[in-house]
Amino acid sequence: MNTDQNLSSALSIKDIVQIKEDTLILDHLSIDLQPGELIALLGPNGAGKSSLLAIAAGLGSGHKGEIFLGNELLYNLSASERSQRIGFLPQRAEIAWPLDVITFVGLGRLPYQGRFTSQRSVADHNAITAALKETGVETMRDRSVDSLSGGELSRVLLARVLAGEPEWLMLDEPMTGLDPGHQFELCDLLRKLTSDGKGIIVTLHDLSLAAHLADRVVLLKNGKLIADGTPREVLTASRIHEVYGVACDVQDTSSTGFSLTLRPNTSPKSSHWE
Amino acid sequence: MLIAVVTLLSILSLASGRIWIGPEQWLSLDTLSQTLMWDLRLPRTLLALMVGASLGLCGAALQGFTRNPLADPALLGISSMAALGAILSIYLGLSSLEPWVLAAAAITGAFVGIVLLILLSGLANTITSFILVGVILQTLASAGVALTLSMSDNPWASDEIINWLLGSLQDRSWEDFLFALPGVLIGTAFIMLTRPALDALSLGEIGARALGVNLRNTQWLLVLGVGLVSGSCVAATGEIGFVGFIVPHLLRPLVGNLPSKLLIPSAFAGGAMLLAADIAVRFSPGAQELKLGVAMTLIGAPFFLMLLIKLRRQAA
Amino acid sequence: MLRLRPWRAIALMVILTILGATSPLIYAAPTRIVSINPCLDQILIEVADPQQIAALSYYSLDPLSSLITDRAKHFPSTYESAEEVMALKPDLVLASAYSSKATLRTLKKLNVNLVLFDLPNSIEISAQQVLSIAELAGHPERGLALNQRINEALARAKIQSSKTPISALVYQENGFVPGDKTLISQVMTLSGFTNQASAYGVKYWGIVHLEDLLHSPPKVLFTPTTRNEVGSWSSRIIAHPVLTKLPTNIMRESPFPENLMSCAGPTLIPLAKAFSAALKSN
Repeated sequence: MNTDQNLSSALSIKDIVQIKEDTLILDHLSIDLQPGELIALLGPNGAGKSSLLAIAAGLGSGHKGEIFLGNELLYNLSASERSQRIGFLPQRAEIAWPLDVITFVGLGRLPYQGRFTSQRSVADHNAITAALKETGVETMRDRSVDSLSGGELSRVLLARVLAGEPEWLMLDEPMTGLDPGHQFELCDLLRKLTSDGKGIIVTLHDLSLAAHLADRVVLLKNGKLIADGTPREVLTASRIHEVYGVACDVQDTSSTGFSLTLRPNTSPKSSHWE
Repeated sequence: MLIAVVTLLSILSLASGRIWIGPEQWLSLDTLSQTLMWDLRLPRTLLALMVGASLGLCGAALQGFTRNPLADPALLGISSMAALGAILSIYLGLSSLEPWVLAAAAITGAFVGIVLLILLSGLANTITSFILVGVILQTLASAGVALTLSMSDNPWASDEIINWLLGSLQDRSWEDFLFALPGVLIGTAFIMLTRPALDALSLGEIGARALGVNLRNTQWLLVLGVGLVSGSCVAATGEIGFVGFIVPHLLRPLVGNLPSKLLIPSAFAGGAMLLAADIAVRFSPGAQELKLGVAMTLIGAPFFLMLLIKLRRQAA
Repeated sequence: MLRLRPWRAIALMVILTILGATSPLIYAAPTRIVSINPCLDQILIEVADPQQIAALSYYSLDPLSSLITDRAKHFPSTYESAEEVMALKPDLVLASAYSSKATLRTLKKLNVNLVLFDLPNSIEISAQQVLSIAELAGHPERGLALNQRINEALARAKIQSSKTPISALVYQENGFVPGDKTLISQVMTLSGFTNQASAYGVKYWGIVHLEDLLHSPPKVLFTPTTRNEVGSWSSRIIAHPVLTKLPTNIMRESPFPENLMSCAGPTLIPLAKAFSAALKSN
């Protein structure tokens, strides 16, 4: 990928502060992200990961600060342009109607369709077909989404995001409810997309998976940026202890990178439930 | 296919009444029968089609927007509020100022109903809270109607309320149809504009916003659209329920679940359904025709029950 | 010639004098009469002295339904509730058998001197009611006089009727139609019309819808001249364009004062006159 594309798709988050109901949710966060990177957004519950992701996708509210997509303020983009360039998958995928897979994936093309017609163009058809192929769900195209297993559904959800042909994919906890096999499957898919030039931000709870998956890790706690760097740089035992309050053994294994083994904190005084 | 059904039903409708006037007689009618056909049966047929289509459309749109299979203008109290608006305008003497005031008052009532609905139940709603709000609005509107009528001088007040709350197409005129038409056309246009948003809402509110939908605009378009359409219809015929509720459910197995694709078929099917019901009530045994609203309730209530049972089974 | 022994004649005269002097004690005319029905108001106002009337019904003040609005203004009126009636301390209350049941029950419980009148379905019953009210008021002769006037008016209408009656229908709000067995129908037929209501199966009161009306229309359709609410169902059916669209040789609308359509008694005089006038113009 060339620098021009890098520049026009670079995501710059500048000094975001978000306050809701007198609580500080995000505290002066600034991050610069490039397409072609797979970024894991990590942090304990309530760290502000989902909030930050939503804001980065242009869906937040009650915040100050700026986000630039390329040289343009995200705020200045029209809703359809923004949703064409950024594909967002919310945490709890709500599906109101038992649509069939191909219709469901086709919803991802809405940012490209006009107000008055719901006719599909050739580009639409191509994008949908490509998305189905990419996620390996082509054979399921006529099945109803509520007949899918967890793994199949997660791929279909991703297909829907991909159908929009976005530059950035922002996925809020896409691994929830998937068994390890399907988790790794999804990881491979995401890695492939990154190598195709897309920028991907995912929020995760599983630190090992993050270590395996991500090019870059952004670690949050209480709305503050704790660390930003490669998994090795960020996920050190002391930092994990500091942020999550759990003890950790870090092992460097050459094949998969490195692995983390987490143990509960041995100190009797601290409690996560306080 | 629905178009064929509608055409057939229309012909049947024109022929039906206390006295059957079959198509073979249409070219050689005497003056009396001509007046009958032109001034009574034709407006009645057109009104049935228009109101049925409107209710079907509103039902499909409301169900798409709220993602709630129980949505229907009458069930949600919107039609009752429209009736209240109309009755208030009559008893305050406003409707005698200009002929369109009655329809405008009904539309205003419908607006108020929808706005209250959205405020009280919120965009993200559960089925329970929805029914609750619908019940509240119905109660409010009925209380209002009773209050208004208790203060009126009209000796026919109780018959008046029956007509408004039970809905009927009997004795309607071209005027009733023509005064309702503009509201219905404009409202339909507004509703049609919400189609992409309704589809996007299949993914939930956040999902829809992620696809670039402006939920606020969609909400107001829907308020205006459904208000105009259902208000105009209530002004012409009184409250008729269940059409908007049943029709989308019947069509989903045939047309699919995508909200935008249900709108137009729901309109056609709604028109067909109401016309068929109206033809049926014309053959009511006994001296009095069964009120159309009552007929729809007789059809709709069991359907409603079936749906509730199905939902409970799904939840269990 | 009656031959009476003198002492029998004197005795008779004494007895008659005593009876004459005491007859007011046997029936003392009421001095506080309350009527809670506008039709009864109209009879009462003709046969009683003004100072006997304690209150009339509120509806008598409505020019659209009452003929005596100007006169009724001078009397107190009630909204026909038991409370108001009792506050007036009446010694006679006139009500219709169709007045609010709750009101009637309450008045009966309070042992008020309540007299109920049914809806008069014939000219004879109407005359009887006039007499009854006049007697209750202590002026039977006025009742007789009123009946006399009514009968004269009816006779005049009958004379003016032609040999071939014209079919007619009284079409009130909501499509309400009086059938043969009603008072208004009797006056109508007496004045030279036949009541078309039987063609729709209506004997007493019923609703006739437009389609049925069009299938066998009367030659003359009497519709009320005004009603206040525009847009209400009750007025829409009688204002339906189809009623004016029919060629006049088949059916013609004849506007008719609404306040003549519901009451008996003295209303029959202008009622008969109105029918006669309608007959002439048709």
